[in-house]
Amino acid sequence: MRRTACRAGWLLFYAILFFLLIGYIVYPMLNTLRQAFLSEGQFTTAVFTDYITNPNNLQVIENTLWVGLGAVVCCGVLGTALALYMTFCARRFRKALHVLLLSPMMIPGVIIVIAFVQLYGESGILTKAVEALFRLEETPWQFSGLPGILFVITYTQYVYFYLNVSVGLKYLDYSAVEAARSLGAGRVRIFVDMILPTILPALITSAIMTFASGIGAYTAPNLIGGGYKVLSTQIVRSKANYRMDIASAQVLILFVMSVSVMLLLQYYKRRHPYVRSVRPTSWQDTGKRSNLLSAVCGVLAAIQLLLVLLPIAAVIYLSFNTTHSIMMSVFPTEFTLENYRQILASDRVFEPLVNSLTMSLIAVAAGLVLTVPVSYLAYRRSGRAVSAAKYLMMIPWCMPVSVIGINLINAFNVRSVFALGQALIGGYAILPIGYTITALPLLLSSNDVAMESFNPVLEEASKSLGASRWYGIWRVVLPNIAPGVASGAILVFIRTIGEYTMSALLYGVYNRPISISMVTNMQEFRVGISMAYGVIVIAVSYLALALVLKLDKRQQI
Amino acid sequence: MKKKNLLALLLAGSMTLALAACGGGNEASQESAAQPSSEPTAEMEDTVVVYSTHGEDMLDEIAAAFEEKTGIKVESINLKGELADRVRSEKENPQADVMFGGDSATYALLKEEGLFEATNPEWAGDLDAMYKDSEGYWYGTIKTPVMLFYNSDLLSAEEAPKDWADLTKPEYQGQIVVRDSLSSSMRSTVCCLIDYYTREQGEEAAWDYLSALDANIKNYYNSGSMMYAAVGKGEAAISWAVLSDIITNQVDNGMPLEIVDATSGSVVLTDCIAAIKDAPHPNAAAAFVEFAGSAEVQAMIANDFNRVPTLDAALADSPEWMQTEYKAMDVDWNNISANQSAWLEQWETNVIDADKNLASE
Repeated sequence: MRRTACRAGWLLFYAILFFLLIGYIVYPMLNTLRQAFLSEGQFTTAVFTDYITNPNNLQVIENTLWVGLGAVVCCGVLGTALALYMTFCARRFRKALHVLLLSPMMIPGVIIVIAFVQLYGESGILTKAVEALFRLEETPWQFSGLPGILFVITYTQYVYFYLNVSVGLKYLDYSAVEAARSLGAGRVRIFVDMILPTILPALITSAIMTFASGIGAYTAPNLIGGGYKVLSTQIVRSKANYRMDIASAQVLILFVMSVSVMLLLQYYKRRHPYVRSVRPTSWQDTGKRSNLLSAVCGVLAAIQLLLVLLPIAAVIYLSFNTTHSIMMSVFPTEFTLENYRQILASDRVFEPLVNSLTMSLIAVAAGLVLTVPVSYLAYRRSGRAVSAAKYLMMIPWCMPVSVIGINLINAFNVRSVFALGQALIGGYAILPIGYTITALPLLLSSNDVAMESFNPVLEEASKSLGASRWYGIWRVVLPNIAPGVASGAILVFIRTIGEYTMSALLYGVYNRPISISMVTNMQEFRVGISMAYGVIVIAVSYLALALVLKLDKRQQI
Repeated sequence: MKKKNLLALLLAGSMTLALAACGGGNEASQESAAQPSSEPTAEMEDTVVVYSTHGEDMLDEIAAAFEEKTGIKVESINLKGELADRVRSEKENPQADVMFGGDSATYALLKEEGLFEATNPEWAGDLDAMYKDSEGYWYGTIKTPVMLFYNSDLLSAEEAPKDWADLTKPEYQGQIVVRDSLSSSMRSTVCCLIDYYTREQGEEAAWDYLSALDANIKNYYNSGSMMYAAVGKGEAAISWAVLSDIITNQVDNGMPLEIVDATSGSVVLTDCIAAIKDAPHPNAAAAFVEFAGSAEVQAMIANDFNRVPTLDAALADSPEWMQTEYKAMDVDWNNISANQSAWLEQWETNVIDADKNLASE
């Protein structure tokens, strides 16, 4: 009896899951692709061939590829280095440092790019300082084009690598490392043979994600592009030019690009499986370390931390300046509290803030309900249904946020069976749905990292000791994967609060999020006010993070 | 134990929320489904939803006045350059009642696509024929000049360009910054320049002009604030923008900007208003169009937000500087409406930064 009920329960779960995944991810994508090959009801490849035979467009495709590859390399080096440093070298203020290192995730891209321009742009504070210091005739660097875009992406997106590698490192078996060391293995040897295999799944997961977000990056190329065109910005322009067919062709190219990279990396990952030790011993800080290496590490980490924190400091500093001085001076010094006073005096403030928090919570909650069972099932047994579900959930990885938004608009601006006969565009639900779709791969991958690091022997042990399956899940599996799952959930939550690209495409009168308020003020020449909004978002994100940390003090995200 | 509790809490909470979210979504959609689809009844609704390109300050002020007069609550959002796109994509299930702002070429296009409901406001008869649709589907309520300007700390009046044609001169190389192609005023301006130069010198000359202009442009900005900051900090001296924005930055932000009355005329857009077809609140929509286009409101936003009225009655009560007209560029808006999509695509793909792109190789 119980067995049948249980099976019926899973069947129902699968039915709902596939209904949602097909309805909200697959169908909208196919619907958009259809438009790339459909002109006035006729199937044609003309739009597509015209597009890729224009050398200007080929250049755009090549540019996009460079941004994606550059993002993976830069974020990978920075994120992994920081994770290694935080795990092995950092001693004091570890928790505070960890929280600070997560900060770039919390700040909406638009605000951080403005802060970067204020610091490193042609009239930036640092640019002018270097110019004056070395008495240069010309600006020391051009904060535009590929290097500028990569710089911004690196310092806003290294968090994927940093978090995933940090979680992966928790499962490194240090007793084995100690054993190897006592047998005379050098640092390089230990890194290549022991650490690297442990963090490889995390590296690959992060690389796929970073590549997709790199080629899909919208805000950085849009704001500081300086003639460097990429696909994601051109898609939005084609759409604005009423050329949905061209936009769809661009979407297709972007999609193929990231799917190929994802398949390639996953193939590589399958070729290099590794076995976990039965009972990993955690890293114990013994206080001994070689001075030179840790000094070098410390200096590098300090520089990185400084680069990460500078834009945040800049946003806070600018929020206390008048718009006049921000627009006119290299180093604004007209201090005022007016920006905050105006925000507090306006009715339009708290509503967007509440909207953003509510919708972020909905996205995290819905995402967890869908991804946690799938991660668990995938790890328990490899069925066709579950791997299909995983593949479907990972598709949004390969889709820039603007593409997901456009797909949703095209699919749900008409009444749809998948929305139970409703048209969703303009209503409340569509934006949380969009947030949830982007959250799925992130949640799934952090669940997977946690799940892969979970030692299956433990569950077998509970079973052989007579525990039922559900008891085993409840008391053994969930507590063990909780750190990884929670780290993904927190990341999604703080990232969604200030999300801009999806919000701009899908928001309506009933769910205006805070990022829109911020950008609207920016557009209406109240830069100071939008900086003050930025500070509020940062503060709220820190509060959310502190709350979660307090809820579970033993929690190590 | 604690870890377990946290996860249980998260999962339980998430399920409740997911359910609540479903419930909320359905409720909202049922509500809209229950609305009478198009049949206007005598009954006035208590809300009107406005999609706009105008700034929040201005929308809030109009909303407050409208609410005070009629008791109808205004829900508004500023969708900027994406406005037309949004109204189009909600065609099957309109959420908004009124579209407020955007140039007449766009309104003509959307009327053809059957997106508007005709209205007949009292002041329609007083409006010059060039500012309204002959069948009453849309009305122009604001004149929006797009004008050349420069930073007067960097250039003297003699050094400054006198006309659009001057912008391609070698001395202005790297001296011009503008908005990018997602700005609705930039889009209109480019279309006007193509239309104007095509008629003056032929289409090839028009594209040559735009390419030469592109070569002199230092940067295309996605954000108006960043563009003005570049002019303010002296990274470039010359730009063009909507007149009311130039004045906002002159007056509110104290920037040293000088306006150029171009010899071949400035681009003058007509910002329009229209009621949306099959809107959820059709009567409130008509009432809002009536109100927002009235001479009283036109004069109010002329004085408070530097928006130039289209009604003569409103112009009389407007600031002094609006009485003297800047020269308007002679363009054919019907031609622009018919060609804008193709022109903008061509400009986007093969003109903007085309050399810079290929040169970087």
